[in-house]
Amino acid sequence: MSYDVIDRLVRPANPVPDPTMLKPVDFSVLPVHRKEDMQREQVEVDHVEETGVRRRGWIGIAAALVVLLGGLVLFQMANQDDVASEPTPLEIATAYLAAYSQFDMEAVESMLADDAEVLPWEAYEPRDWKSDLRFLEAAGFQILVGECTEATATDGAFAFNCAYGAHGLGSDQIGLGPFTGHVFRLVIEDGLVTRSDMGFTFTEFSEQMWWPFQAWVNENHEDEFAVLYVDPGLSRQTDDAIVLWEQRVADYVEYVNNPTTTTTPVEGSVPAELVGIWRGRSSTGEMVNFRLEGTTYSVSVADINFIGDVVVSDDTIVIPATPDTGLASSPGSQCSIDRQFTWSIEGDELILTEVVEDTCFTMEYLAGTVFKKFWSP
Amino acid sequence: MDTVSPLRQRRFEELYERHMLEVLAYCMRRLGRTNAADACSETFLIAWRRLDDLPEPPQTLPYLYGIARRVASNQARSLRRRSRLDARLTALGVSTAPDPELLVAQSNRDQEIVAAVRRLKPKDREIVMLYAWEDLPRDTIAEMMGMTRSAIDQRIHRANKRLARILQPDSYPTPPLAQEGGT
Repeated sequence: MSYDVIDRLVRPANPVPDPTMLKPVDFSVLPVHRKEDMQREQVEVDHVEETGVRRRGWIGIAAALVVLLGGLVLFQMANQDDVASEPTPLEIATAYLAAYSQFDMEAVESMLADDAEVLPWEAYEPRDWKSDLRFLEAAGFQILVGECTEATATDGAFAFNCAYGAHGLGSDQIGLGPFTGHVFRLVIEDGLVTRSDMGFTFTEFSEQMWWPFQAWVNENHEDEFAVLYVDPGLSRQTDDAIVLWEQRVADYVEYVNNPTTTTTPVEGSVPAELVGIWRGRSSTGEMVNFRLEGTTYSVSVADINFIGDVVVSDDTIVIPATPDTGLASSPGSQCSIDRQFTWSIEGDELILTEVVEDTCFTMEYLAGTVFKKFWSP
Repeated sequence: MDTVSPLRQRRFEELYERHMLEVLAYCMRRLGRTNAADACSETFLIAWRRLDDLPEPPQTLPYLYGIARRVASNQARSLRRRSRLDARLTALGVSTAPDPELLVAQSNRDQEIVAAVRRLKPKDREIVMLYAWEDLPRDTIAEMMGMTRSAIDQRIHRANKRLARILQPDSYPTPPLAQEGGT
């Protein structure tokens, strides 16, 4: 079954194809729940009736807002005596963040609801927050908790946005950071945290710490890249990886604080103007990260990641076909050939042109993509 | 009681009249008739609170859908807590059970397709629904979901692939509810 057929099947299966069909039945539905609230608060509903069915909705909603706030005040008044024994949602939020910043897994877990949604540090895919916490501790992170402010939440829940700063990958030991502007977002229901989103803003941290550290790993511990990273933008958090993160972060701090003498560039190594991470969109729309440094390169596109040696001359970049580069997936086949491009920098753009046509599509993401410098060491 | 600014009141009234049905339909597609009204109401309650943050058209409706998505998600969690029976029905997406009232007018084939859509991974399912049922452009969906346009294309492609597999005749014996959540 072809995919456009699927699309043509799914569209007409829409359970509510025409919202206007809801009108006669469902306009009355909305105010029903709120009406009870309104009656409880003795809000005058006659006005609602007069102003028409559609107006009922917003008046009901406004009334509900009043009910919610009023209820909260009444609740707080009625429970003043209990305040000392029952922690407030803000106190829970503060205690949760204190536990998180101390990497106290047991304390964090004790405050989380069973079905809590936890988005840890690298949150673009769901991850195991416990591993993430262990990683943060091992990789020299410090969470510097700031103030929490209450945010909009649904009924029965309390939401807080808590500003925080952070050190990471030993930034505090090499005179960088703390990196600020992050917001921990918490939702608390029935005395437990039901949602925890670490809300880390990567830009500045990535430029100053993440990419330089990764470049150093590539340069000095290339074989460990796959242990430390799932892809260039995502740490690996296995037990082995966490031990290695701790070790390499310490080594990196040592390296930055006690730089060795500069070595003479190896012949064929990447010239200064090319060193760094280049980013651009391929002809098929994917974001391509192309990193060049020393005698190595890496390319990451979506979940594809190539890493290997590179030989650069005045106008060509050659990526030799070796098993490690991923270009020789079929040894002995005609696809097992070096990839060769001419390169030029025009303005701030890097242009790569294929010298030999890539009939095997092993590096189709590079040719034709207009790259711009994303990061320089 | 504080008086509400007439301007604010009028703005909200316009917003409500313009988008109430679309938001209600959005909620019904995901939650069924019984729970949709509550979620819709909740969505507008939040919109009322955040009236000053609302973007101008044409971004208003996607913004409301964004609120409704979170409300529906929270409601799903509340439902799961409420009872084990409910949890069984709603465990992997809001209202895994087809709403009988909604489905009365649908053909068997359409019901099968709806069931198949409900078996997609939550994020893929949401994207497919936004694209096919709310009829939003892919760029708008990308903005709503905080994803790139190409990621949306890939998700739709992947979802269509999975739907094609689910809708193959020989895959029907598996009960839809047992497969919720995807691979």
